[in-house]
Amino acid sequence: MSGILAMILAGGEGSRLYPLTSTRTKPAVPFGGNYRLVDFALNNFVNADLMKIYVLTQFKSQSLNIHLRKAWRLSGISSRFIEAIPAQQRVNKNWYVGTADAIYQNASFIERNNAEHVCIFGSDHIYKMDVQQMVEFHKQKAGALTVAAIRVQKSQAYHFGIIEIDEEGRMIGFAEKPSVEDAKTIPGDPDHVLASMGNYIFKSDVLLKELYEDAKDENSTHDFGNDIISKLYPQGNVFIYKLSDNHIEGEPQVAYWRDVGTIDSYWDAHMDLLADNPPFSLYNRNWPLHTYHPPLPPATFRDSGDSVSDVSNSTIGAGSYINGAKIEDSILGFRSHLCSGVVVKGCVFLGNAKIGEGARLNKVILDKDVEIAPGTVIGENLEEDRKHFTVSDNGVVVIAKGSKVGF
Amino acid sequence: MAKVLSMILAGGEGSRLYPLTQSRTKPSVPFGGSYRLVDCVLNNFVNSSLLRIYVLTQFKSQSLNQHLNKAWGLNSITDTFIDAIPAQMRTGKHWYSGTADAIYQNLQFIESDEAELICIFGSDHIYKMDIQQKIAFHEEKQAVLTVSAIRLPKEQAYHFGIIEVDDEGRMIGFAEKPSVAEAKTIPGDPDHVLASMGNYVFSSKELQAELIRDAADENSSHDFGKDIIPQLYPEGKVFVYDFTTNTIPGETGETYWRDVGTIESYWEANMDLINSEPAISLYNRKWPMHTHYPALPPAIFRNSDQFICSIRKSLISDGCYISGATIKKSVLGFNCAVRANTNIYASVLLGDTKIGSNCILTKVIIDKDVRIADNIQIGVNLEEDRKRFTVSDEGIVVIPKGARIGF
Repeated sequence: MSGILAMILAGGEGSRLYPLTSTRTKPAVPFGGNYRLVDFALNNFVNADLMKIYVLTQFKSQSLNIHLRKAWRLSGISSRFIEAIPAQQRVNKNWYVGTADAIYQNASFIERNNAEHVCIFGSDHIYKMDVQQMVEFHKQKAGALTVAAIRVQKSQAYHFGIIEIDEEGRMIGFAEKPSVEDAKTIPGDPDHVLASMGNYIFKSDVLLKELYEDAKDENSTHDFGNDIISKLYPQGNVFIYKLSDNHIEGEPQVAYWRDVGTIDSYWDAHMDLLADNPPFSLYNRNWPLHTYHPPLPPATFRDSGDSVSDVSNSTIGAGSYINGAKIEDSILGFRSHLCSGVVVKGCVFLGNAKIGEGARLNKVILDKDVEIAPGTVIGENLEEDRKHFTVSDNGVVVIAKGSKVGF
Repeated sequence: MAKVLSMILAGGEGSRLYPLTQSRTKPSVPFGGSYRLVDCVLNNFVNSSLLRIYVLTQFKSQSLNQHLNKAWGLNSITDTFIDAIPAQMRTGKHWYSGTADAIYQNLQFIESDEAELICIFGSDHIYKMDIQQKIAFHEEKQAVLTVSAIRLPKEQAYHFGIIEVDDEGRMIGFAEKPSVAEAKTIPGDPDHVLASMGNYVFSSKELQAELIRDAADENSSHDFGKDIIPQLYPEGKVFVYDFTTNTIPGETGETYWRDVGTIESYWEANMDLINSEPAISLYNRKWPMHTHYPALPPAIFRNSDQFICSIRKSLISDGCYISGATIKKSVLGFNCAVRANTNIYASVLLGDTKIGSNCILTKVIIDKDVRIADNIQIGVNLEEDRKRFTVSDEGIVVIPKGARIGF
């Protein structure tokens, strides 16, 4: 379909995900064994056959750039493209101030593409959405802007932009991160609020006009949530598209959308993949999740003496080498090497890990390129672990990229 | 270094691998979970930085073409390519009559190229070779033709072209598939013979002249082993490259080279990958094994009500979904689902297959897209299996592509 341009905001620092974001921007954080966070947004577009995509990068983007080049490059017969745009001082020497400023600084790409509508999506959430369906809704409503929204518990309201709508789906109120008391609940559903997912489809001309006006406004924070939406919706031209109205064949009825902005939410989202009847699955053939696969053989399982490999509710990536280890409730990324007698429980390995003989890991996130000495125990004595590692509120221990532990 | 053009012969029918070659040419037969046979030779060239490659196809090549397209498409600004060339009646309306004829019919691609050296390699053997080293040997010897050879037990002589060499490595005798009694053994080693691996480095000019001469010879069968080599070696310009002198960084142990031309040898080569000290490893980071990776999540291992997964000495590929099954000494390709309390032993699953619960599979090769119902036993009663399936002399049962069993 022509006339639809996508701009994916992928500049996030993700400071609450530290140390996973100490060397990479948030969208480049690995997820689910084979993926990076940005893959989910990109798959939502690619699987919807929308393939004119700019990815706007800024913060520590090298690892993201490499990933985009390896995994997402389209060969150029048609007018389809997936291109990274680094912050490049197109209008001034400033870094992006807010989400709207990021688009404003790249407004020339919208003008030159002659797109009728522009999709502006974030890239750090886990969900599946057939964006085409949202585009159709947007066209049918003929509004200036369509905002994607999801029903969340009222108690979560303070994290999000909270939306009020009328019966036709028109936005009639908006509050950025209100207190739980102030948050307007959904009519007839006092326990839930409608939260903005930070995904927008704009009519191009409206977007450009708003961006130019906003750029001149000295009082603006140049953010879509704070500034652009708040100014636009009173004109009656902003509509709300509910994620629950999006249907993908083979997906569960209840829509899934997770911000993995903190270590705990990141860990929780991984455990969701392993639940019985998982609320979010990587396995739907109608919605293939593309990514980059390094040239690695299948996961190999060996016995080591009496030590047999038992695997329970876990996923294991290609290139892994399991030599008589016990693995429970864990997600092991590419090239996880577990020596004999290792016990791993409730762990997330981002890839290229080596765990020495007899080590025990419980509720540990291992960033890439980590080596753990034989016999090391992590996650059983959090007092002790706090001295060496980042430990989250819920007791998830994070081992930073490239660490050598216990040597 | 001399400019090199490579021609890979990939037209083989592989009739002794039936039914695996029922719908595809032999080089396209899946191997080792993630690969196809042709990947071995292509990795040899690519990892040797030889990236000007024609792949000559003929028999049932659609699946091979797709694989080449997805896995081996180069888009490069330099003069590198991996291009499939189908048989296309360039010299008349006939198919390739022998290996030399296959090259002769595509002589134009050699004539129009500036390459000084032409590599002509088969594509249905499992081995790793740094081809640069062979080329260096060819240049050092100032040979017209260099033939790769491997030492084999004398009893296998009747399968191969058997070579005699002098002290300098010059070929002084050649017999295509001689009887064991007649096969000339290696001087000083009466138990072994030197077998041609069917891999040739030719000086381009001499190759062209030889092919033109051979094409005009009505008594020729137009085969490199039967016709070209016997014609050339008495002139003293054919040298033999000893494969055991080829060294690859990170590889240890004996040289490995397997023809997987029969069901038995195909099964054994797969088993070679999972032995404790594998004769050939897929894990050498200095010799990555490239192939096509479909968009699949990591393998997932789930518990069923009563069973957890026990995985021993096996290779499990991405997209596999194992719930409460026991898998021992087996190779599972992409996208295999195995349900609870099923026991798989010494089997090779090529991929995209679903196995029900309470099944027993022993020494079974299962081609792609197979569905097996609950409570099925295969490989347990060979009498019974022979009525329905191909069973090799050694008792390996082969389930053909697309089979539905027990429904």
